[in-house]
Amino acid sequence: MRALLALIWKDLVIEARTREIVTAMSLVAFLALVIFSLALGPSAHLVAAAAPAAVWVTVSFAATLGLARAHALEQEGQALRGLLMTPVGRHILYLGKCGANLAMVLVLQLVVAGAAAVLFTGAFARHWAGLALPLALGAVGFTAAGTLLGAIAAETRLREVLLPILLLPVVVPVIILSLAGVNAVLEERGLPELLRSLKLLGAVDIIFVMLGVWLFAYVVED
Amino acid sequence: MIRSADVALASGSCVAMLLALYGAFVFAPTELVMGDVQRIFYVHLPLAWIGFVAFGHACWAGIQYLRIGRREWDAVGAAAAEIGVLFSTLVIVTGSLWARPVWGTWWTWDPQLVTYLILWLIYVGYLVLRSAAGDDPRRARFAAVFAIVGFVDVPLVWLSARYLRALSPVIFTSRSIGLAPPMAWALGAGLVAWSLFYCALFRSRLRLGVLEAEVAALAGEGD
Repeated sequence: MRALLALIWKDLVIEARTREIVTAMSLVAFLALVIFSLALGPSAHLVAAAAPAAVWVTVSFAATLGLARAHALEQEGQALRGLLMTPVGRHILYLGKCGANLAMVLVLQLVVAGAAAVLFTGAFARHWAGLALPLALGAVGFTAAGTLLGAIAAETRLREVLLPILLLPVVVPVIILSLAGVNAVLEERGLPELLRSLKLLGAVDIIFVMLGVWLFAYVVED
Repeated sequence: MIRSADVALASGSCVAMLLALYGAFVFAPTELVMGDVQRIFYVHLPLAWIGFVAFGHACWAGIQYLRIGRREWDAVGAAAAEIGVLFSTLVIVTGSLWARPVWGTWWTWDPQLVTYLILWLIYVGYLVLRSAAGDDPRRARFAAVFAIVGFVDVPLVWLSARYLRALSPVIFTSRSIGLAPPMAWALGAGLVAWSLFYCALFRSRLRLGVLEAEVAALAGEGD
């Protein structure tokens, strides 16, 4: 447990000192939202209806960029090789990387949801408490798959170009279910409707984390 | 070296394919509502099933490779996934050709269609991954891991895609069509023919994969 917290802490301290990944991800996301907003035109109704979709499209592409960069950092200076030499289980390494990535994606979601509340619809600000859960659970599944596949993509020739090709089709269930939850909250369809999608989303998250814990050792093995 | 089993398999699949074509175009009666367009089904449905089996095969090969570590399992996975992509491309194309006159649209976000599209995207990604990993010895492990993740994802996509139905209009509610006995025979013949064809293609592709690996190993020794 201490090793896991140390691993998460290490990545967060690096990020806090450089602020490289979160800043870049947030800027890309903000730009995407602005372009979305411009492309949708002046119709307030259309913009409000498109808001949940715009948020998830933006988050998925910006987060993919961030995950690719986070794994590229492990390659530089052979940081990953150093970690592999420590007496820590591979599954702890995976969970540590996953935890740090999750923290960054959650910050990204906060920025994107905030920007969407200003640019798209005030409903995002009004329902912030209800939206937190479907978005956060979506982030868990996204990073669980992204951490495993990011480690693969970073080792290939195509690197950050390959990650979206591998990751985005795999996380389609996470995006659909998180969006179902977000829509249930925004359209005020009640708690049972929200819980129905969240239960399934939670199950998908658990499956992705278990796959990562099982398969990460094979990816980083020398 | 081409073995006699391969020759038997190839000729068997040729004969079965001719019979299946006869079944689809002559033996099966014309469907009352959809007309001749429905005959695409005798190709589409077997392709869809076998395409799915091929991806399961690739996943199974991935598990075996990670467990045992023999290079042959990597070649099995590559062969199965490659043919799976070919078959599922044909599934999507034949499905669209059928949907256009029957549903009035080339594409709809029906859960089965979404699942097949995502399945196709995942295994196209698998092929891109294999080529991007180059001659890296880790390629087999990466491919095995991704084949497993991709196949486990399929039921999840299907379960989640049902949530799309509430959002988009449902054009077609049920796909179950009662099959008259000659139609069922035509479908069965198609299934046998495409299964044999898969086996024949798979064995050829596997042999090629094993030879490629041997050549790569010899080239590595020469360096």
